[in-house]
Amino acid sequence: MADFTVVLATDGSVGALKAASWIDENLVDGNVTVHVVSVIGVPSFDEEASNRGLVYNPQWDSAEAVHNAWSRAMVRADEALHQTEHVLTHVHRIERQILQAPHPAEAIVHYARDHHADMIIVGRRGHSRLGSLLGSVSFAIVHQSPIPVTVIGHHPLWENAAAPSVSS
Amino acid sequence: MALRVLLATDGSPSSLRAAHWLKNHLNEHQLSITLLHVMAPRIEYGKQDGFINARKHSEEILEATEQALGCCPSVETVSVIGVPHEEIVRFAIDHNIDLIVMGRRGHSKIGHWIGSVSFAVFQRSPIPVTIVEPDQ
Repeated sequence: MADFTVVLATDGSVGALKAASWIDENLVDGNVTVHVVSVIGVPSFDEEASNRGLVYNPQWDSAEAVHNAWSRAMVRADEALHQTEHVLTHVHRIERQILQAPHPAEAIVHYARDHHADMIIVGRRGHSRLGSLLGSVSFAIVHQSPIPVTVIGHHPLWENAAAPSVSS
Repeated sequence: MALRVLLATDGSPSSLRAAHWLKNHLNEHQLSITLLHVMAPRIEYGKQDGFINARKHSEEILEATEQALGCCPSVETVSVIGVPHEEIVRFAIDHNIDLIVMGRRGHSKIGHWIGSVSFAVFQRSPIPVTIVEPDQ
């Protein structure tokens, strides 16, 4: 099998970890490189900024507060990457990347294109609570991506049984 | 163990491209591929030769997709009648499919948007779905 590069978008949610364990089970033969990518928003203390896709919170009243929020987001993204990598036990080539961008889907699609990826893999939904609907980020990725996108949904029967166990 | 792949096709350029992508990018020796075409129920099936023609059309679609796929050792072709997205998901569950592959849009002409069947499969499939974007 020729080199096969996939971009796995993760936010550390159960859906993303399921996507990772699917890769671990099914895409291990051959020269698979997995780019584990997490996206964080761009915090700002400009109220108008939310129109431009930046994250605004009225409680952030100083540059320091914004910086702290940003640091926390970086830590969370880093944890998400670690948890996801932990599931990928059979993959030998893993690249990790935290992207900072106002639009996660756009950032992931650009990243995939820049790294000549063959496929983007995402869990169907992240931390949102909109029931079983396709998550907005995965939908936006499918909509924008010029390369194939695999969305890993999950089965009602797996709900409790096969949630990937994560120990740190 | 071979990855069981279901390629849902409607003969559109988008699904032929999905077949092509499957051939080029996934190791054919490790795949067992099933081609599925779903015939949506139509009133014409009740007319003389209506159903026979529809079956013939379905076979042509499967043949075209098989050609786009090129030579793969174990390809099975199936044609069923029903609501496309329901049948695709049902078939995949019943046959322990590991991955559903389909084009982003079928014959619809509404530009860049994801097709209704792909979207419906996408939303409710418990099995991973790969959507292949047609060439621009």
